[in-house]
Amino acid sequence: MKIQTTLAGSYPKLPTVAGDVNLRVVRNRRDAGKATDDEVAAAVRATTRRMIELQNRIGIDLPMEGQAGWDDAQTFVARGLEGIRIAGLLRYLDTNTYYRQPEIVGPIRWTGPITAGEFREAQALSARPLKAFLPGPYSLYRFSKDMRYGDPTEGARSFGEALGREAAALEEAGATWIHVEEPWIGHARAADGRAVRAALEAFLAGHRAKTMIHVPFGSPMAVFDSIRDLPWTAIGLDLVGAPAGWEILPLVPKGRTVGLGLIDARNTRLEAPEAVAGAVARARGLRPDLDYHLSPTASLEYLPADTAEKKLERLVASAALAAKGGA
Amino acid sequence: MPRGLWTTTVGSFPKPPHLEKARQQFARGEITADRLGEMEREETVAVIRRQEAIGLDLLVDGELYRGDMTTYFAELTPGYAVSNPVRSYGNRYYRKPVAVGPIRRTKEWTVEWWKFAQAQTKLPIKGMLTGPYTMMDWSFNEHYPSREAMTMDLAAAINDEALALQEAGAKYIQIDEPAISVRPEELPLAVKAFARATQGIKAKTITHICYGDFDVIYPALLDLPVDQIDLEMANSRYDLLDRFRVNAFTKEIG
Repeated sequence: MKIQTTLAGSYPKLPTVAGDVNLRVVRNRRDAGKATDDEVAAAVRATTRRMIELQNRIGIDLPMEGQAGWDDAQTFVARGLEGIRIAGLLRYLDTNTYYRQPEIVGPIRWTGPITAGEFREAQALSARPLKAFLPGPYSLYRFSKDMRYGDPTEGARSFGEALGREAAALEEAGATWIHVEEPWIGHARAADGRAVRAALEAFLAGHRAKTMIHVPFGSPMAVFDSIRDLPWTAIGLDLVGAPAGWEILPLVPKGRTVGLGLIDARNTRLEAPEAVAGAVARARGLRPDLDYHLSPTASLEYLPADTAEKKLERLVASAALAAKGGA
Repeated sequence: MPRGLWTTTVGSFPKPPHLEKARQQFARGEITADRLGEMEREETVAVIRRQEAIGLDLLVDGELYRGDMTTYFAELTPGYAVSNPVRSYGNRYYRKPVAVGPIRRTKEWTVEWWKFAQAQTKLPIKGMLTGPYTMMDWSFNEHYPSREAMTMDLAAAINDEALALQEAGAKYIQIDEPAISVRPEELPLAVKAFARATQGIKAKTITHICYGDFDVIYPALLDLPVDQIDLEMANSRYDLLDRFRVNAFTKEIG
């Protein structure tokens, strides 16, 4: 049985082929006053095209646009919301990467599409439907400094409502799948369940697109009971960083999809397709009634571009092996 | 020398544009290692003079000869390779160490630079190293079976360098652990590794920690066997100070 392959977030922006557009160089030139904002925008488009063509060529079933123009996974969206001010750099959980911390200084409100235009342009470059990307509402709250609500449930719900409006704009732009990145759900304790539920309940209300709630770096076990009955389509697990995620499988409601994050997005060691296919077989053995996606554990931006490409090739090879029943 | 409130800096100084350019030229094979080293020494002297002129008490060499705080050591160490660039934020990239075999220190990393810098001034110069937990956490690992095994090999290698710095005369050795604040469950490993890295060190030990979530590691952080903890506080508007009212800070604070 074929398993759908997909990404789990953004993709490295640097080229692996000499002579290709190098967004880093163009941005450096802009910062030095030697290139214009228009040239940077053109480099972002060229980089997006390259990322999508790469995924199409390798055979990723559900590609993503790669977030070529984003500085981190939060800021691009957060700065588009009313009530948010963008502040200093903080480390992004236990990764040696950084983000600018959103500060909640007023009521959080969605005032217009933030990512939908970019998604529409990217979709036009892809032969296959793209999975759109949004930061998850609970994680966006936890990444932010709350100077307004003082109550995690209210703050997280407000982000859920605002990002839900953005998800609707993405649907209008043609998105049929939306990847929702929720790393903080993997760090949540049972006591956080109310806030997690409030965020996702508000976010998921009334959508047509399929939603992948992806939890990199940790297991959602502590709060899974709180979100189990919500109308998400898929739950994405990081089964390398958090093998405890296997315990989720028996709890997933019938008819849902599980994203098997089995390609390590945080280490350069390449996986053996036989081992990955074996893990897919294990999941199918445990829950033959579920649908599955096969993906990296997280954004591939934690890796150099050349390694990320090899990881995608291993991903597709693993899926092919899994389809043959090999392990 | 003042007592009580010394002034110092965390470590690296900005590289002037002509040195950045020279490093790029060296990478392309356009200038020799000798020429680059000559420029790095000139700028190191300038950085020391600048610190003296400002009136700092405890100086650094400025690390003008280092690319960054992990890759520099990896490039000098068998068992390590270095990756192609990885993004840290926005348009900032770095080359990340990759453990590809047993990590062993087979030659000095910083001692000659420390000796050169110390010879330029009567004020003390800090020996500056990156800690074993941070080196492990900020590396890819294609060799070791566990994070602990890699960390403890790094701790042994760092201890060799710290002892060599002490032997050379360093009275202050700073071993930075910025990654320590992100995985509270691994704090005991970081503490154990730091103890190994500072085994036999009589010099004053300092560590610098930054950009993390201190709520999850404080006050357990005080278990770190170090004389002084230098904390980045400005980015969070000094709100760490409120935590110290609840749990007293028992180390020297930087």
